[in-house]
Order: sequence, then structure tokens, then C-alpha cells
Amino acid sequence: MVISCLIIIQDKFVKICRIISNNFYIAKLIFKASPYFVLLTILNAIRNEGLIYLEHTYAISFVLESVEFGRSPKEVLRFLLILSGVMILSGIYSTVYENYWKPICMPKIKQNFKEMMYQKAKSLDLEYYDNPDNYNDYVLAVKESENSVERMIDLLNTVVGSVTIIICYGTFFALKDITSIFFVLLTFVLSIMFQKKLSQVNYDIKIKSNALERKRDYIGRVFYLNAYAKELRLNKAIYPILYKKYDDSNDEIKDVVNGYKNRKFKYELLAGYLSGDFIMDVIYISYLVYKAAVLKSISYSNVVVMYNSSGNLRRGFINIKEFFSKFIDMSLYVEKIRAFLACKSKLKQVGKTYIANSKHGFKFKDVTFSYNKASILKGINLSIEPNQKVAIVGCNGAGKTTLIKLLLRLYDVDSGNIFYGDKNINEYDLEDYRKNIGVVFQDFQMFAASLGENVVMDKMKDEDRDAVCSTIKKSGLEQKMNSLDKGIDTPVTKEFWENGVELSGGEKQKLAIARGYYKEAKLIILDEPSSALDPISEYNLNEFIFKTASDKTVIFISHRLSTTRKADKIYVIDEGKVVEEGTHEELLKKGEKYAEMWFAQAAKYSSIVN
Amino acid sequence: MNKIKNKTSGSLGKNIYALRLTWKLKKKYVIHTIMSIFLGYFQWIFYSVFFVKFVINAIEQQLEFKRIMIAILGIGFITLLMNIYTTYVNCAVFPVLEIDMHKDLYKSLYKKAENVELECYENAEFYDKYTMAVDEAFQKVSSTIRFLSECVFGIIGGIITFWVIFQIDHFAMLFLISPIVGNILLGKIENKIFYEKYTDEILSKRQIAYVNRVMYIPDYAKEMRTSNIVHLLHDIYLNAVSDILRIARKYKNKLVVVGGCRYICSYTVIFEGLLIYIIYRTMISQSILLSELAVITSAMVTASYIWISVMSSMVDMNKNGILIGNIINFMNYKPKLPEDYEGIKPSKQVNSIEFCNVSFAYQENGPLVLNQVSFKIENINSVALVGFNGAGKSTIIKLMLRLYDPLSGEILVNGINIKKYNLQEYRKLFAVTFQDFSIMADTVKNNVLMGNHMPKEDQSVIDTLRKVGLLDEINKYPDGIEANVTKEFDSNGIVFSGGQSQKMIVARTLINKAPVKVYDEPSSALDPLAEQELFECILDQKNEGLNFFISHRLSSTKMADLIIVIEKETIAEIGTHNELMTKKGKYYNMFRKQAVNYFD
Repeated sequence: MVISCLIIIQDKFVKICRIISNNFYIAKLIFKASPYFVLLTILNAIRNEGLIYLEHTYAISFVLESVEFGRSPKEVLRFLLILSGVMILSGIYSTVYENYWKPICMPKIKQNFKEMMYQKAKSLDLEYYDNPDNYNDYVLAVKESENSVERMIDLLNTVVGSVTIIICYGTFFALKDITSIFFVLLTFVLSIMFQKKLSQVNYDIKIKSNALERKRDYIGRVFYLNAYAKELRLNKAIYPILYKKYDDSNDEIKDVVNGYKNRKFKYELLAGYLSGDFIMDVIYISYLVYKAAVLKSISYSNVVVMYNSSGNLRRGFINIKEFFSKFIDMSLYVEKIRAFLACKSKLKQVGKTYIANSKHGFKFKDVTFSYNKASILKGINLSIEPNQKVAIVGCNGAGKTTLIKLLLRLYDVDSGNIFYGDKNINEYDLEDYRKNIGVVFQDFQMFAASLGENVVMDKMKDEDRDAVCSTIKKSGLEQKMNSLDKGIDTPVTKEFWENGVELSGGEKQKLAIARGYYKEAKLIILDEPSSALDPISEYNLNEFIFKTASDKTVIFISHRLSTTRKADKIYVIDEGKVVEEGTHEELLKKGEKYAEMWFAQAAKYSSIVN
Repeated sequence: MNKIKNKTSGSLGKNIYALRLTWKLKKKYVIHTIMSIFLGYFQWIFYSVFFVKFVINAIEQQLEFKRIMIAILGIGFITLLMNIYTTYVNCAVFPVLEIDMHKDLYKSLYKKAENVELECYENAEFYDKYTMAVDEAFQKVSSTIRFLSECVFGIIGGIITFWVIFQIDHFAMLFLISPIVGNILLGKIENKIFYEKYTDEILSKRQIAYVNRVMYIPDYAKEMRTSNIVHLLHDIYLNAVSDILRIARKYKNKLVVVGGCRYICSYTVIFEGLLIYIIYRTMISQSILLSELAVITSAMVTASYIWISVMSSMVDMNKNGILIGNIINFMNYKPKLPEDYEGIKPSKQVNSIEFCNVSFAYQENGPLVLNQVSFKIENINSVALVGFNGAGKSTIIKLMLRLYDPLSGEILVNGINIKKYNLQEYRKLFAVTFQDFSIMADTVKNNVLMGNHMPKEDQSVIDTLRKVGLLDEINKYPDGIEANVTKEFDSNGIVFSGGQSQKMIVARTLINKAPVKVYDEPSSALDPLAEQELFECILDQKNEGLNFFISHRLSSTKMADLIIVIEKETIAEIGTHNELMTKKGKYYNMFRKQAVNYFD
């Protein structure tokens, strides 16, 4: 019994420690980035609340008392003039803080933070993206890093502000009439009690209606997203189904809301008016009037000041409460950020060798790999000699792209080895190793940068320009480049620039190929490079692979067997295994899977021979 | 192109539109909103001015404690009732009303979207405004009445505090002008500067957001790891940050001066200024009583905060007006090609399709996508459109489906200009597999049928899925054709690969009984064997009507009865495969280029 209690207490203690440590973690980062700003923020919070007290309570009370008990007018005026001066200075501080210090300091603090995140993001394993839980946490961490800074500053404001309020008003009421504090505390305790119930009701509503709202919003999306517009216009019959679903989900949401509305009303009334204004405006004022009119123990100017000030003390307590819930919230986000920053690469790194000789071949030995527990590669053996042109063919989902990912060390093999020369690829320095491989992914992306930078995939230096132009020519984009006013400096995508160029599917693919050429790598990997190319461009690509890149090793994946035909070696992958290997002629002679695919495609072109 | 006209100018007109709309959606909502906001302001002013005044007078005049208590309790009881009302309205009435209003508002937006032409979706400018209109439309429309009530009652409340102070001392009232000037005049100037600053910052903020996005979107992950693109992105980010700092410095002086003045007007003048003045009147000229002084101190705080809240409501209303503008523009948009376009009913057969000198551009004065295209299709079963990327193949299909109207020239179906047909009936003549198809979060069966009904539909769906080679995959799921596609609502939903999705979309077209079927690149994601099977299966249906194919792969289309080669916005060649091969022209060249690697 005692022990279990102790365990619970210990658990709580650990949790609390973690929350505190998370908050301090961010606070420290911010403080390190800009200690002055933290100081200025604390001062600002004290100034703000302190002066509200001075102006609204102390000064008014001073003035009323001066009249009631007859202080000299000169003294009062002097006080008021000094007060005016202080208030003007305070106003200036506040505007300078909001319009100068904050806009200058915040971006710098955020930048420090972001750079840390970005550093990490690049080194993160690709695997991290694949697991939905990890990925969601990752997105949250990156998205929240900036907000965390804002949140921490807000937190700082809240805590310093509410402590200031409680000290100022607490002292004020303690000196004037300590019982008043009891009333304020009463409202605070009651509202917390009922608020808890109210939160539960709101939470229940949210849980129940969330799924329904998602359904409703999905149907809305179908109506307004471009992706569905054409199909809807040709399949009018789908509308009644969609509208019915829409109405149904609305009715269901309404049922949920109707079911909770009375409970919600009850707790809202209890937590809101009854434990707040009602106590102050009816009970507390009665108390004050009783003291003034019957007991005559307080002056009536005090009645006004105390009645009007009680709201401020209430605000102080409410803010403290808010501070705690924000404090806990903050910790949740920081937890994700810290987990992300602490995340270590799972890729097994055995050595740090730099590639001195780029004239080695690659060898896969008994490589297996599974993904989400589904076995994708089941013992792959293949070898790629220097300067060879190797084609990998196979059906959709056979594991071709996975092979490439393993070669690039985006993932580690489950078992088996991949060698470059006589060393396992995990013995090479990762960055240096990848530098030696130029790759055109199937799902390559355009970046919101200039055309040239999209080829270089880095900052473009002046001395790079000639090479960029000639690469663009080779990749068949010359015409497009010449048609643009700014040539290789033309921005790509309309992300930031109205006059940015949007490339067509085929042009994008050519640009992606140019990236592969430009990299000066000894190994070029092309994953489905011709899927969006028209016949002529495809022909040119083939020419490139076999003529221009004669001094490079090329691995290409393609459905179009006409491209793969001239390869020095063809590997046919089926269900995670190499089922056939050899030259085109050898495989045709064999008369198995490759031959079947080949004839399926070639037969259609047969008329050319006839 | 669609010029989006600003019919209602100014934020006021737009807010009035929103008010009318809210009134039309639910009158109760409007009345309760006005009422609850009125009560809120009433209590605020009542307690901080009149109640205080009453209490002070009562104590000063030494009223009997019991009588004061009766009054306090009486007032307390009345405010309790008011609060019961407002709490009930907020907790039990509004949430329910809002669901209905939300539903009706969105339905009218969807109905409108249903009726506008496709162009609206493909024109980025229009589409941006449209999505902005749809986004949180309900909040925008319904908050107008709230902002307006807050403004109106706030101003009335402000005037009442004026009057109370005026009653006590005529000149004291003058101090109250200061927060009005401060909040409304200087506030306006300040907001203008904020807006300018905001516009200056847009690009940098977008750049920061972009870099952030690239960092976590998985599509970019591979390239980030295999190239130095991170350096470039880092550079974009640093530039954006330094731009933001530069902009902050640029505006700091203006903002500090205006903000400082506003602060002094809104707080210092009314608080300290008024205090000094009334202290002078009380202590030196002795024209104000102590009780009056107490009331003024309470009223002036209220007055100051009321004007601050009036100001913020006005700013919000203004901002909201701009957003409502998007909704108005969308709702008032007159579709050039409305989906409910009336006309004659086409016959159930399609015997001929003819393009006569058809030209087309996606943008007014933009480059022509099609230039003087003419061809006629009659008494054949299959047509193939071939040509380079961007040659205009998909555009021909879009024009034939009347998703767009040609710039000039006409399109005839069965000898009649398609503009004369009832649009909905006309479209029923076609079933289409689009290149950029979409899959619905619904069952396999509904995804294939797309709302159409037919006798023995389950069996037909199964047969069709078998034909396209997808049945085995679907039978892996216990619910079969009733299984959900996508994980949108069903965590066990089927997620098809690219090739499987294409097969399902082809099934959608195959099952349709329309006389004309269009397949736009239906096999791009398929491997060679699957592609061949799919084409064979499509061609099995050949005798039922007219089939259109678009493909890069000339081998897939060579069996078509008619091949139309599109090049440079116009028709380069037309004829059967054999005719075009003997002609040794463009088609021959293209075919050779593709074939040469198979045979040389």
C-alpha cells in the first residue's frame, strides 16, 4: 500500500521533473540566442502589470483618499504629474518593445533553432519518414520549432505578469482588507472545479464529432478540389451519393451536439457566471457595502477601488492557472522536438574511408530487405562492372527501386552485403560515397530556385555556369533554355515568383536527367527516366546513355525494353529475386520472362520490319 | 478570361451581403447574437458605471442596509437571468444552429462549384480565390453579425459613458475624445503601416515556409540526401531572415512614433489627464463631489476599454469584409459554360464527330494550344491521338467533352454543333479515363459504378474487374467489391499502387454504357505485360461504340482505325497505321524511333 503510493508519487515526480526540464530546455536555448531579449521581455511583463496596478488601483485609491481625507492639492498634483511621466515612459518602452526589439530579436532566435532542426533533418534516416508515427512527430517537431519560441516568450510573459499581479494586488488587499482575497480565491477554486467538468464534456464532444467532421470535410474536398472536377463533370450520377453522405454526416454531428448541449450549458453556467461575476457582483459587493454602511470600517472610496480592483486579482489567479496548462502543453511539444534532435541514424557505419579510386564495380551479395514486415528483396546477387551499362527490368512492385535505395544507402540491407570494390559500402564515408553517385529518381522534385540551381542542386557559382549550360544542352533542354529571357537564371516554379517558369512533365524529366549528368559522378542511376518523354526525346536519352556516358557506369530501370536492349547486362527482377541475367540476346535465347515481355512490346512494332 | 468583377465595393457592402446571407440562413441566429452581445455590453456598462454610482450614493446618503441589499440582490437576480440566457444561447442554441447553417452555406457553395466550368478549376487565379472563399466560409459569414453588434453596442456604450461624465462635468468629457482619436484615427494609420509591412514581408515569409516544408515533406527527402540542395535551401532561408530584419528596421521608426502617440492618447491622456483635471475641479474649484469623482474614475476606465474594443471590432470587420469578398465573387460568378446548360437532347448513338477549324487557348491572348484543327470521324470504332508532350492531345478531348468551348471554329456531333445540346445529356455520351484520374474514398463497387446503376450490377462490376485484371487483388480482401478504397475512413482500406489504380479507372470506363469511350494514357504506370493485357481488354469491347486512345507508345495505338498525329498545335497527319507508314512522314519517323531499338 505504502509502496504503491510511493511509486505513484515517484512517477508523478518524474513526470513533473520532465515537464520542468523540457521547458527549461527551450528557455535555455532562447536565453543563449538572445539573453537581452529575455531580460527585456521580463521587464516588459513586470512593467505592464505593475503599471496597471499603479494607474488603475493605487493612483485612483490615492486620489480618492486624498479628497476624502484631505491631502494638500499640491501633493496630489505632484503625484499625478510624476505618474503621467512614468506612464509616458512606459508607453514608449512598450511600443519600442513591440515594434523594434521583438521584430528584430525573434527571427534571430528562431533562426538559431531552425538551423539546429535542419542540420538534423538532413542526417535523418529515410526510414524515419516511412513510419507514420515517427513521421507525424517529425512534422510536428519541425513545424513547432518556430512556434515553441513564440510560446515560450508568451509563457514567460504570463508567468512574470501573473506573479506581478498577485504580488501587487495581494499586498494591496492584504493591507486594505484581507477577507477580500478569500472571495477572489473562492471564485478561482469554484471555476477550476467546474471547468474540469466542462473540459471533459467538450473533450467528449470533440472525440465523437471528429471522425464525423472528417467525413464531412472529405466530401467537401471532393467538391472543390481540382483533382476531382473533371471526373465529377462526367459522372453526374455521383452527386446524389455525395450529397446524401454530406447530409448524413451533418445529421450525425448534430445528434452528438444535441446529446451534450444541456450538460454543456449546466457546467458553463456554473464555471462561468455563477463562480465568477455572480460572487463578485452580488456577494462580494454586499460584503463591502456591509463593511462600509453598517460596520463603517472602510471608506466608500475604498468600496469603489476594491470592487473595481478585485477583477485584476482574479485575472492574476486565472493567468497562473493558464500558465500551468501552457507549461504542460509546451512540454509535450518540446518532448517531440528533443526526441527528434536526439534521434540517431540507424545506418550502420563501419568506417570512414574516402573513395580514392572511382574505378570499382558494385556487387550485391545475398541481399535481403523487408519493409513494413513485407519481404521485398529475397537474396539478390548481382554485379556491376565499371563503365557497364546495366538495365534492371521487372514488373511493377518487383523491388527495382528498392535496390536503388539500398545502393544509395538510404536504407541498410537486412542481411547480405553490397560491395564497392572490395569494401562493403558501409565502410565509406556516407557523404563522400553518395557524392560519387548521380541519381534521377522516379519521383524527382523541382525546387523553387533558378533553372541553373536546379541542375547544380547547390548554390551556383560563376565558374559553374558554362558547365551548367552545356549539361542543359546535352539533356535536350537547350531550346527551352534559349526561349527564356533570363536563361539559366530563370526561376523555376511559381512558388515565389510570378514570372517563374512551370516546366512540363517531359521538360522536368529532362531537367532531372541533367542533374544526373552534371554531378560528374562515375555512377549514374536513372529510375524510369523516359516515362514522360516523347519518342524523340526518349531516343536522344538512349543515345546519351550509350554514347556520351561511355566513361560512366549507368544503371537504369525501365519498362520500355527498347531502352534496355543495348545494355551490357540486363537483370530481370521478379518478386524480390534476380530471375534472369545476361545480354539481350542471351535472354531472348533463353525464352523466359524477359523474352515474353520483349515480344509483347516488340510485336507491335513489327510492321516496320515487314 | 474570367474577369472577376467587384460588384460590391468597400468592406461595408460585403459585410451587408454577409448579414443578409446570415439572416437568410437562420433568422434566430442573428437575433440571438444581437441579443447576447447587447446583454454583454449592458452588464459591463451597468456594473462599472451605474451600479458603482448607485452603491456610492446609497452609502453616502446612508440608506438603510436592508434596502441596499434588496436592490443588490434584485439586480443580481436580473443579471443571473440574463446570464442564464446568454449561456444557454452559447452552449445549447448556437452549436446546433451553426451545424445547419454550415451545412446550408456549404451546400450552396458546392452547388455553385458543381455548375461552374472546368476552366475555373484550372485557372490558378480563380481557383486560389475560390479555395479562399470555401476556406472557413461559415466563420467568415457568421462573424459579421457579431462584429457589427460589437461595434454598434460598443459605440452606444461609449456614448453613454460620455453622457454620464458630461452630467458631472461638461469639460471632463473632452478628455474622452482622446481615446477615440487614439484608437480610431491613429489606429487606422498604424494598421496601414502594419499592412504595408506585412506586404513587404510576404515573400520572405513564403520562402521561410517553403524551406520548412521541403524539410519535412517526404517527396524531397531522397534528393536532400543525395545532393547539396540543402545548402541552397539554407541560403534561401538566411536571405529571407535578413530581409525580415531589414523590413523590421525600415518600419521601426514609423511604428514606434505612431504606436507611442496612440498609447498616450488611449491611456495617458484619459487616465492621468482626466485625473489631474478632476482633482483640480474637486480640490481647488470644488465643483465636483467626492462621490462624483469616484464615478468618473470608474467610468473613465470603462470608456477607454470600450473604445479599444470598438476599434478592434472595426478592424476585424474590415478584414473580414475582404475575405467575404471572395465568397461574393464566387457566388456571383456567371459561368461561361454552366453545367446546367439547356439544349436539345442528343440521340443515343454517336455516328460522327467533326472538328471544323477549331482553335483554342487556355488564356485570353495566351498561346494557342490548338490552331485550326479539322477532322472528321465517321463509321469507325477506334481513333488514336498521338503526338509529343504538350502537343494538344488532351485538349482535343477536353473540347470534345465540352469541358471548354473552342476559341473559334465548331465541333459537330451527329452533324449538330455540340453547343446546341443539353450539356448534361451530351456528356452522358462519353465515358473517360483521365490521365490524372481520382479515386474516391468509397467502396470498390462505387468507385467503378460512380453512381450509375444497372441490372445485376454486382456481377457486372466483378466481370469488369476480372477483365482489367484487378479481381484477384480485390478478392484478397474479405469484403470483396464492398471493401473500402483508401485509408481515409477505413484503416483497413485498400491502397492501390499506381498501376492498380489505373486498372480500376479503366474498369470505370469499361462498365459504362456510353457510346464513346476515351482512354487518356491509360497504361503509363503499367509494365509491358500488363499494358498489353489492358489494351487487349479494351479492344475486346470494340464493336460497342467509338473508342479514343491517347498514348505515347505508338505500338499500343497502331491498331486504331484512324490515327491522328498532332504536332505544334495542329494536325500533322491523319490516316491508318499502314497509310501513315507508307507516307513516310512524321508518324513514320516517330514510329521508327521507337521501334528502332527493338529491331536493328
